[in-house]
Amino acid sequence: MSKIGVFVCHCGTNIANTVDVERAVASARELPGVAFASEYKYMCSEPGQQMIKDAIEEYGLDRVVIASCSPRMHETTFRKMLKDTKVNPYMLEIANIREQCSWVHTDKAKATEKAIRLIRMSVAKAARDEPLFASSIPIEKRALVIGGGIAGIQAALDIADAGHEVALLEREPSIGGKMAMLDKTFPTLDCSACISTPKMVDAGAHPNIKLLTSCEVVKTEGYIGNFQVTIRRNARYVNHDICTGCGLCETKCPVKTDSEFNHGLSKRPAIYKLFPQAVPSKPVIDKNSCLKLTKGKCGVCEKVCPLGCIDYADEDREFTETFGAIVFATGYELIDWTALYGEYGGGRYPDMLTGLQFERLVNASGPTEGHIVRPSDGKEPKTVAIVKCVGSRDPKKGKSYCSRACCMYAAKHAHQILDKLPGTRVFIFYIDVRTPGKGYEEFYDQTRKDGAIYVRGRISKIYKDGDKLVCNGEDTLLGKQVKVMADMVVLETAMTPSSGIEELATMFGVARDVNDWIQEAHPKLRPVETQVGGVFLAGTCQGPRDIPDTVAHASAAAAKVVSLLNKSEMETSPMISVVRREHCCGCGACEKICPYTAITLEEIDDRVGAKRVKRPIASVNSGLCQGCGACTAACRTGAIDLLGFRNAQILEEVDALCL
Amino acid sequence: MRKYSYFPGCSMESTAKPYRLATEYVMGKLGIGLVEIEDWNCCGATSGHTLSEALGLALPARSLALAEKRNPELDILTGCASCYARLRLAMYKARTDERAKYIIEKTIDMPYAAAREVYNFLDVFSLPDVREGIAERVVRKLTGLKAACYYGCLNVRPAEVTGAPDRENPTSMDEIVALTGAEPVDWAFKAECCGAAHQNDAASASRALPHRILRDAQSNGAEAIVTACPMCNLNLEMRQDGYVNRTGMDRIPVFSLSELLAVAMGASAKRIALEAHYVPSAAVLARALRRKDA
Amino acid sequence: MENERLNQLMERAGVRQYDCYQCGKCSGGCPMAHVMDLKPRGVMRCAQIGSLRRILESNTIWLCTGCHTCAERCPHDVDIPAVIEEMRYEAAAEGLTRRDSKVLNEVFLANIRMFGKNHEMLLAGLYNMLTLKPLQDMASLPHMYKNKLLKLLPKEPKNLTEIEALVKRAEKWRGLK
Repeated sequence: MSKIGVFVCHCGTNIANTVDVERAVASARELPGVAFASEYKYMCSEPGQQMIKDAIEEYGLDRVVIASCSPRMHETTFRKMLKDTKVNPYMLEIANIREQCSWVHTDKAKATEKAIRLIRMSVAKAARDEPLFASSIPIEKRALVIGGGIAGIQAALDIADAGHEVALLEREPSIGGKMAMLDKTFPTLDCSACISTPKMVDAGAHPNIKLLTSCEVVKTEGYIGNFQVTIRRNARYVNHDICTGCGLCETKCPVKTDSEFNHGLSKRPAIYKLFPQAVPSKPVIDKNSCLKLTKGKCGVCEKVCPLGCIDYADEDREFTETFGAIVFATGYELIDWTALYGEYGGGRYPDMLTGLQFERLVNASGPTEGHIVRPSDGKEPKTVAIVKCVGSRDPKKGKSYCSRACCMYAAKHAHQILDKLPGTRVFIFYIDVRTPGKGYEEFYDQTRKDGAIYVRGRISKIYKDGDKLVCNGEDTLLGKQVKVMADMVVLETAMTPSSGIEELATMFGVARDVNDWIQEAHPKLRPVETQVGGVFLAGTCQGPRDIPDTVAHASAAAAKVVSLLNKSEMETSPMISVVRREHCCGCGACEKICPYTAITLEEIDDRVGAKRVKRPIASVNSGLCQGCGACTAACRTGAIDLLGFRNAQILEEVDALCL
Repeated sequence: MRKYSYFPGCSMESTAKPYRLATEYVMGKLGIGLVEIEDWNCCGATSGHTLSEALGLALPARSLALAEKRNPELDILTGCASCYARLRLAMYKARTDERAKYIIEKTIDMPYAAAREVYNFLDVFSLPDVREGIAERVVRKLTGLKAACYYGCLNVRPAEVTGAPDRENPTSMDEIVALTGAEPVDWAFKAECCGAAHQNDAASASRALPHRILRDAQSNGAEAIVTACPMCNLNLEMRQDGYVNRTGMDRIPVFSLSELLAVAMGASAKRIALEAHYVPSAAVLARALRRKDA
Repeated sequence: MENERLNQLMERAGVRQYDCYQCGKCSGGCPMAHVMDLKPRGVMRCAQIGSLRRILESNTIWLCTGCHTCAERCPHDVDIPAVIEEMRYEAAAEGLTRRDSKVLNEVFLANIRMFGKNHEMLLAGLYNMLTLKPLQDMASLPHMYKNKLLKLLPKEPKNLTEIEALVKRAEKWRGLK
């Protein structure tokens, strides 16, 4: 007879307010096999754990049921605790009476009844628990960082500095991301390029970092410690091995197309570097606008190139590499406000800019060399309206969330206008001003004192009247309608996840939240991990944030990667599938359903009566199996069992609930 | 042949004479049959729903119920934005709100299934085959006529009732106007309220509404405003004396989409009583007809 | 008590007042806000703080044109016109109807009862007489007559007694849940 200990947690009042804990304990004591039952305010706390350990010692318990929060929360905590006892860490069952009971019910009597049943099920399952022992797998000591913005660069540098190899992948022809586009950064107003380009150069020159620009992930297999990632390097049509980046080709190219780096505020040739400080500092050809590649005519760049780097026959190339850890640093994009806000003109007026366009406009290396002028006529604006929360905090047309950085860069934009064009009237339309960062409130304060006029109210309509942009809104503090005749309007638009995030997340099996940001493993305690082992998060791929937070987040992700890569091997969960050969008919249903390609059919010698035959049976690769249990459900003969969740255990649970 | 149960509305019977004549002309040319709803009554705009919810729903629902009873196979068509809004709301409520349906049927003392759709002229003129028909029947081009298409608020809002895809910058009328050779101008007040509802009981307070519409049309280069509602049309015309006095701008002709189409399809000014407009509109149309393609 | 009534009215309008976060996009785009003593955002604010009286006594509920610009642009999809409509019925029941609106509505109703239709000039004429504004919009009268834009009387619906009965029945529903 097993000796089960049942421990019911109050979780402060989280459980105890809705579940009668004493009654649950009393009822547990009556269950077959239960040798001891007790309760405590916080089971996961030090004294709570000590209480369990003492009870194991005192009553000679050989398995444990803890009725508390979700196993996602503290199963590992309690397994770790059992390592110091005689009980095998897998002789543990968690009855989730918080998320699946107290948090979702209000009727105490019924909730208590449900909790009692959940405990009864766990006790029944525990009676059939068997000791399991973890094995280990080797770890490939290389990391892949996806996305070469400031988050990716920071994570790559930190991992590389710790002595591990890093591949830094970027789909654009240069690393640098959004930060390279910015002019000054709040709240210190240091020049964005001055602080980010040295980091770009460091990343490009670091012996442990390999840059994979113009590259995209196309496929991935494997698991933590051993990801096999297939990468496509898009054709550059320029041989970077010999190109010196002299730039002659760029000056001779006859094509002029919209510069994506300047957000359409200027033109660039078809053979181009993304921006002057690009890393690598070598051009690529844009196949969509190049005359040679689209129409077969031209070929000027090939003629002028002194080193013969141009290769119009270049093709996309795929290659596969193995990595022990993955960092998502895929960043953000600005919401396409033109499709959403007809009341703001839907993009019809050239003197309405997004925040990023304004960054380029005010940037000394931008299309106007930093002169703040109207794109339509090159005139300096006398009145500028800055509109916040365009697409943010707008569940109907845009996103329900706050994009976090806009309040500060709106203040920065106002400051820059007032600094460069003294005497300009700057109106900032806001709903709330949010400045929770070091030095942020002081910056907002200074901007106001500098003369920026903050108007509390969301702009309702923007239209053109003569050469003015009329902004209609309400000054909600006065309760009066206001009309600002602006020469230029800056829309501080919402951040949204980068395009392609859906495919990438699906490839790695990483979850996304309702807004398509990557879901972190735990919002407070595991902010840089995902639910998929070995896949980490850096920066805005997880949600909107500013540069200081992004860099901190990226360094945190790097620390997690480093602590993983520092181990030569890692423990794997012993809760994997096992095949009972004699019951397997070799149908292959499990092979088809396995999402991790962990099951293959292998041929064995067998005997049917007196005849020796060869027949296929299922075989599980313990390195690949993630213990999802899909195969056990698909197996017709019941030949596959998931250790820790054997069919017999599940049936015991069902019996305990129903009988 | 397309055929609709037709709800003319009160304005169509009096002040909107050119609109009525032009609509008859255009529908005739296009072979669209209009079966006037027998014994129809006022849709209730605007006082009906100011007085009570039941009256606001029952007045339009009575005409709709009569139409569905007499011609159960026909959808309902109207050329007035106010009527459209009231009729369509009654249809929408009868379909989506059981309580409202109950009130409607008890008040009109008739069953009302809301089985047929309520359309406005823009909906019908935008149908692919009707558009083709219009293009075929344009016998003279209104070359280069700079026209500001004014939709009014009630042809497009509220979104859940009208189902209009774009309530800030609608384009259906612009596309139809372009078929005549006229040039729809890009302007910002296509769907702003003209305030016709309060021209009696809050006259001075609501004067600013038509004025800013007229101003935006003119400052964007419009020579004429094209409407899809007799109430909007009347309001935008009648307020021009004050507008001219206040702003020093010129008057601007305002006429309905039907009139524009009728002229392009060959109707004479007299045929559709263009002279009945408060702001003369024949000249600007004649000028466009004389203009050669650039 | 007052709060209960407010909540009842909001429920009938199908609007939760706490959905509104007071951004002011409604008031900023309202074509009549310049003459309203309580802007559309203010209506929602009063509903939030339980100031029903202030809404019922505002001119807002009588000056709203029902153009739905506020609801169209509201980030939280608050149907302010529905609130205004409920408040208008409530105010009318309390006898708080704005004078000019009351006259217009009565003239309109008389019109409907007489003809089943709305006779525009008769409506305007009667309204002007009753509000002592005999000249409002009458400058256009000669033009209208010259062009035969005004019939003396509109075509009557065949069944005026039916309309009369409809109006009578409609009155019964006032305040119905």
